[in-house]
Amino acid sequence: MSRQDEIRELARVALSTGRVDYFIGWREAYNPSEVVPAFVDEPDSVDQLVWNDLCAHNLTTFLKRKMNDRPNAKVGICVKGCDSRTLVALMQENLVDRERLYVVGVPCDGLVDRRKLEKEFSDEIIDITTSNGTVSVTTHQGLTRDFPKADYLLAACGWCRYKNAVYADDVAGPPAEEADRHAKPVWTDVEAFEALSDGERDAMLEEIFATCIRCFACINVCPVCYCWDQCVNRSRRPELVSQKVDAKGNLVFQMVHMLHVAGRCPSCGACDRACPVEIPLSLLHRKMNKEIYDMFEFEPGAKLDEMPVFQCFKIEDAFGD
Amino acid sequence: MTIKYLAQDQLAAFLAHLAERARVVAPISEDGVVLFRNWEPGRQVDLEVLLAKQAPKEFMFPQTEEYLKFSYRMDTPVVDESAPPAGASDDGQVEAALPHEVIEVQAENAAPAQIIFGLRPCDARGFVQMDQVFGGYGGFYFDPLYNAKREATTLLAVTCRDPRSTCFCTAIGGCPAGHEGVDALFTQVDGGFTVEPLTEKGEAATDFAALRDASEGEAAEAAEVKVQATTRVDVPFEIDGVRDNLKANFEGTSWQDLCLRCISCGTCTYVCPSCYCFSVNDSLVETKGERYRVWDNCFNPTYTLETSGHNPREKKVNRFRNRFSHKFWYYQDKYDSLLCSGCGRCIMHCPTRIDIREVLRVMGAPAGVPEAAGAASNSAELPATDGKEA
Repeated sequence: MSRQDEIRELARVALSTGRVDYFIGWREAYNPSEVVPAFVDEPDSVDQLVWNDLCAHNLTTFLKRKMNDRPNAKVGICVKGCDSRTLVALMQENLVDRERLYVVGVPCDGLVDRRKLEKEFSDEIIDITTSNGTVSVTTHQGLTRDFPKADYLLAACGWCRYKNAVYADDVAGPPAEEADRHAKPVWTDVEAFEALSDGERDAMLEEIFATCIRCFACINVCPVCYCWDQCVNRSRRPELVSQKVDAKGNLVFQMVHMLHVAGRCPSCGACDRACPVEIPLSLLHRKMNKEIYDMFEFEPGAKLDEMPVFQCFKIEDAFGD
Repeated sequence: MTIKYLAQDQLAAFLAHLAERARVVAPISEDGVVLFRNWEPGRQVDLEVLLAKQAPKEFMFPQTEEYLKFSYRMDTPVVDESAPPAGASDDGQVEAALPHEVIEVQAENAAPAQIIFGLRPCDARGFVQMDQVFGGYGGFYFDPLYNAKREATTLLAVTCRDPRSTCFCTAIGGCPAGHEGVDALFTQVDGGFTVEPLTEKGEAATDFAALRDASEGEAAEAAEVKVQATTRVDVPFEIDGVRDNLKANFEGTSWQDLCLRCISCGTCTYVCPSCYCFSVNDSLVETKGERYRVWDNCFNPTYTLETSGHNPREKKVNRFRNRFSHKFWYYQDKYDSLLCSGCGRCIMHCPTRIDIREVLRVMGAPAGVPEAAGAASNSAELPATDGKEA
């Protein structure tokens, strides 16, 4: 059975046995090149669920407080390896009720970055299919071109060490082949950023944040960021964060997000993908992750029985070993 | 008015000519992202990508716009000890002059001449729709900031040769070669553009030596491009009755299904050519401050938060319902206009691809129908997925 069929079957069973009230997976949107979160509440509707190289959405976003207004429902949810880490981060903080959750782990070999493909065309993409490592893209005007999948992976997939979920009740199909997940993380992008001089870094940050429109997509889509109306970034009286939309203010705005999710964000990349003006936000989050890894050898959301790094205190943190 | 012709290789010269007397704004690609930016000689205008990420709303209604600057000063009267106290009464008592606070206010409203080139007819129509709310329509508030910029701006639109699958302008009375709000319409034909000045501003802007009268062939080609483009725009829903049906479906349960995947950000409203909501903020550092407005949006949970702490649209579904009802029902009632020009940017850029066409198909259908259609919001119209296994 293909992974897609496995997902459908697990969802069908969970819905028909009453294990869950609704099941969150992925489905196609208005054309097959767009995949969106799907909410299925009938066993008969599970065939809309898909699993393909475009299933990038981290669905754990929809477990956030105030997101779906059904606080007592039993929820089934698909998680890839990266998504499972945000789920674990939420569990570590007691922010989701494990009793109400049914988690289907979906082993993943890396997904396609639709935006990288968009840059190859001026026309609209209406279909994307993958087979044997080749991505086939069709545009609205009927042009079809092939690309090697390896060159069009999402950035987060490039350094992924968690191809399988770190927490799941069931797994859709056989596990993906994984290198050592306890190996030292790869930080090439962060190291390139760190190698810049202070002036260069300032200039780079100023440039990338000049286009921010403060739509809050990065914040709302972030599974571990859930203050909603209490967000300090929204505080107008007192004006704790300048509401003016300009490069410096936008950087402060993002710094607030960065610091509030530090030690909790496993860099799933949801913010990058949600940003309508394509700001590489996860660079900031990965920078924090590197600092935290170097200091505490801690990776957010990696182990369920671990205390989040900023919620525990070890004497050696203060005095060294 | 006569149709003119501008050769493609004269476009830069034409824009340079415009830039001598006004700020010129055009769609420009930066690292593959097309946005409206100030054009300067040497910069390439990108008309290949149909729609810039954001509508050019920013240039009429800036995201951050200053109303006024203010400062506080404390006036403390100087007391001359040696002089006989002025205002002393017969018994020698002095009425103390109290220090008092002075507020100095300086209004801001800069509106230099500007020309937006390369916007699409739907973008221009967005301004026309917004004009109602800022222009004092129906005796409501006349906004001097917006109107000064509107007055000083010329819109040179380019016909959409190749509409996207997400475009639906024709469904709501627009057209890929629409004239509404457009000062001059450019249409890409072989080797250049046909140019149709539609207003005095458009005449003035296109009064340039390199523009010659279009030949009959060029004019015919442009007409054909327009017809072709118009027929290719999808009509995904029937607009007649949408207003009444939204009203009838106000309590419809399908709103809940439709909004499930919405993350309640403001992307759709900030890329929209006609969403106009803003909040007013005071920023004060020591004794100097500014009052400015900044875009706000109805998906922001604090948008309707009242001082009492009550929030009439606390739930995501309430905020979600508001956006569509406002565009197709409330605004129409108050300002006699739709508040959507069918550009489809909200669909393209929504992080979870919330589809306004689907919302209107379901919630804009006669009451009773949405029950069936609501289930369809999750499952219908799903193309076959064979061969897409990862």
